[in-house]
Amino acid sequence: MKPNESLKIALVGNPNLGKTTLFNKLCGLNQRTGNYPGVTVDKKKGYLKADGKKIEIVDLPGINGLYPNSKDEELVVKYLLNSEAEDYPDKIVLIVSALNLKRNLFLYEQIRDLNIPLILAVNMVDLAARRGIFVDIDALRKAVDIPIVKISAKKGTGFAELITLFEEEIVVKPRKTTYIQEDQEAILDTYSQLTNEASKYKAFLAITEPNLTDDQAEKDQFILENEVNVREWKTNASILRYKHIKTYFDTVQSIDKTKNNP
Amino acid sequence: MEIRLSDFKIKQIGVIKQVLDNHIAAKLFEYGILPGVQFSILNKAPFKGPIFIQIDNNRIALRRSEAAFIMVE
Ligand SMILES: Nc1nc2c(ncn2[C@@H]2O[C@H](COP(=O)(O)OP(=O)(O)OP(=O)(O)O)[C@@H](O)[C@H]2O)c(=O)[nH]1
Ligand SMILES: [Mg+2]
Repeated sequence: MKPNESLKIALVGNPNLGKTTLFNKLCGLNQRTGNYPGVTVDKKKGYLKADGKKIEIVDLPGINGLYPNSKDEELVVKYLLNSEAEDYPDKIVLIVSALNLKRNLFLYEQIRDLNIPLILAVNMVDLAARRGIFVDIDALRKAVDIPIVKISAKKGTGFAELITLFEEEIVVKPRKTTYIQEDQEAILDTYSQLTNEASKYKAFLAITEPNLTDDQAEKDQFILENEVNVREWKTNASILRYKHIKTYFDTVQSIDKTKNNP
Repeated sequence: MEIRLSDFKIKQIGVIKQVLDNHIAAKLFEYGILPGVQFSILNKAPFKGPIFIQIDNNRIALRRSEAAFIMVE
């Protein structure tokens, strides 16, 4: 963040879990929300006043993961990867829904590896509780190494805690990789060193997703020389990430079967 | 026997065997549609509309064209 500029916070998450609802409440705006995915299709800015300071909030279309499948998704993924850009956020609030936690945590696992200052906001806790789904925030806090808050975007609960986190310093350090097979990791290390990429996962994305960076010829050369099976890397990454989520998920979510689950 | 997810009927439970290689495979993996994962069919919309499946506690809507890439048993 440059001096005299307001803090920029971007709202990121899977589709249809309350990003715009939160954005509207924080900024006093009235952007479209709806109970189906794909409502937001563009980046929108708003402002929040906290302690007399102006904080810029950016609402974004929902994404399923970091491999874009549509123009809206591509816009978000490029925004998240281009840390040199003028409008790059200072912090990200990753919103997950208590109703779809496992799948939403998949996106957390990916974005966590970009090493961007990150806050995890667990939304829809009101609706989940009514359906007998409970999220143990303390257990989740142990599993993720970033600040985390429980909110209801619709009811406005948990906002004070969230806004305090906007202004706190958050450092997200590189962690042990969870998404690549051990015998392939050396290849990835070589590529991140070659490209001077501090986030190993960004290097991984560059290798496995052709549309995200433009040095395609060099990349193809590297892939060929090192016999990288791009498709296998992608599949294994998803399998390994879900495996990793499984190591902590059972402590985090409990379901009351007597209630009418989704 | 080659069975696709799109062949399954409402309320049927199955296990994902394989996702055929195609341009949306990465997206399906991100949804948690991975080999060995158990799923159930919640609903199938008429007129070749979407298929709603459940994995763990999560609901996923798939287009018929997407479901046709998913081999199950
Ligand atoms: N019960 C409950 N419903 C919520 C909450 N937050 C959002 N919703 C509802 O969830 C639906 C989706 O909300 P949106 O804010 O449009 O979701 P979004 O994440 O912006 O969706 P996309 O822009 O499509 O990615 C709306 O019907 C909201 O009213 C919450 O905390 N509790
Ligand atoms: Mg929205």
